[in-house]
Amino acid sequence: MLSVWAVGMIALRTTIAAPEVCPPIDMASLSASADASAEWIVRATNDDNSYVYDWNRAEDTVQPGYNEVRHAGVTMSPYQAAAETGDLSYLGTADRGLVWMQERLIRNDDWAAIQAPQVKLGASSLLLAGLAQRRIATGDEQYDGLMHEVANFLVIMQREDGSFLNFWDPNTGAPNPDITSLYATGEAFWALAMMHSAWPDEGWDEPSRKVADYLSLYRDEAEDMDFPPWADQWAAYGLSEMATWPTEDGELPLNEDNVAYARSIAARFGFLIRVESQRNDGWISGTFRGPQARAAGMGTWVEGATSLWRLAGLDPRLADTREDLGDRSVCAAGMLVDRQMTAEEAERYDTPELAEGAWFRDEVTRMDDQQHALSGLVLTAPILAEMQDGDAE
Amino acid sequence: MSDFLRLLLVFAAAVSPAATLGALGTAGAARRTELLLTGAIVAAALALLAVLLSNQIMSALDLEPATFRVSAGAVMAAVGGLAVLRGAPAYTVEEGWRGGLFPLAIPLLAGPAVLVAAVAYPPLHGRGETAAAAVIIIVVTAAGAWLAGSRTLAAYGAIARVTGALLVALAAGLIVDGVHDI
Repeated sequence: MLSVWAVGMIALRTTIAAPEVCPPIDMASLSASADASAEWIVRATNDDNSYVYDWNRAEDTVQPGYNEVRHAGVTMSPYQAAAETGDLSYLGTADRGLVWMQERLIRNDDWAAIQAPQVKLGASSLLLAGLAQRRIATGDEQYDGLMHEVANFLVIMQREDGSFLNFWDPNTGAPNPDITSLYATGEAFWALAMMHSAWPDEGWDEPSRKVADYLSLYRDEAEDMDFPPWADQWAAYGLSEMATWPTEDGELPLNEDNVAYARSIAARFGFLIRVESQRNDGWISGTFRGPQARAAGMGTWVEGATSLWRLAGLDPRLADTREDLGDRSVCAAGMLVDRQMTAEEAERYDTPELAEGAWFRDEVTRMDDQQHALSGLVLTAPILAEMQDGDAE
Repeated sequence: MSDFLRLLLVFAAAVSPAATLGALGTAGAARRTELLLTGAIVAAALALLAVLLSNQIMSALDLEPATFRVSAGAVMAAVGGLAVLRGAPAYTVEEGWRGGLFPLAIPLLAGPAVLVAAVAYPPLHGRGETAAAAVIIIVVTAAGAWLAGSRTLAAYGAIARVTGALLVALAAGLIVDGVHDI
């Protein structure tokens, strides 16, 4: 009997009861890691203002192909970092990425969208999100017109139930009625929510609320999610942004369905981070607990958890989730910092400038690894600062 | 259902009085009181210790409470599943306090399912209620065995299987709770 217990405990400890390891971090290491990630984006910017899409460090090869949605996201991230930290060091690099997108705009009536070569909702949504973050960081209003044009495009792509179609078909002059996107709906939500924050008298709250309700109530079923909820950091961003909206009579911006949805995705992000904290790069972990997540994935969990942490600080109905969300965010940020390639490690490779500051999985780093990690790290800073202030007291 | 009733149900399923009575059978008739008293006291002490040290145990294992719940649910499900398959297990029971230690205290009254539940539930329902529920079920089971004396029922095995199924269901709920927590 004792041997049965022993075998059972070993099996548990090897699998679901493996220790959860959160590498410790402080503000200095967090900031350094974010800077290293941003510096990678700077070095990975090509002459045509695109970025190195993905690089294999073992083969020293850049893979062909590109993704305009990820380009928009990578451009957004340094703008977001500037808005969060006040450090405009990387604004120039992001502005180059913006030029790439501006060179690929299609315009029609009162709207504009990125065509590269398809007209995708996500690319334009993240363009708008980036411009919104740039405006927050700089106070510069030169892109206000473009922001309105792109926001108009997003509204055109929205359906009556609040969902969005993913492609505009230039041949038909209309959205493709058959295709949606798991990612782009949340991206559009966040962008439109920021439009309302910037221009609260222009009615951007209406499409924002429609999509917020769609995400809260219908999206997972509509997209045939096997294990809902989808860990949608863009939705978390959008809900967090909505919570900052001014309202009349002290009414809270989120309705009960939005709050319940926020709680459900908070649990999802927390679960994902807890499971990831049980993984390391050893063969036992890889065999029994799966491979470590790539930074693009884990970064989105940090983005989600930190956004919901902010939301929990604004909406008392979610206040009970704040401490745990803070703990998970800091844990995941610690894992990101721990797994990032240092300058010393990068020297081993033929192109160390593409190794340093990057995250790798199966020898490959992709540009959105650095994007999502950078965003997650800068958003964790206020949480860590609050924790450290609490410890000091 | 109130939290305390739920806890009573959990520990009743984990202890499985029918399985305990079935396993004891008519064993230890000569010194049955000593056997039952030893078993109840030791089992209750172990459960109380697990409850009191639940935070320390989870910290030592480097597990968040929500993650521990998933693991605890897996243990409880395994124990419940075994009970469904085999009903009331048979043990050779020594007379007196030795029988009280094994098999009565461990693994019958304070087996793996009881101990992991004693660690998993305090963050959810509080130490006091968890400890009370565990001790009550242990004591009631031991008392039931004392009252039953040398009588044994053929139905113990069937009841133990049903209790095992209940434990599996409760374990599933605990796992889901752990997955759905931040």
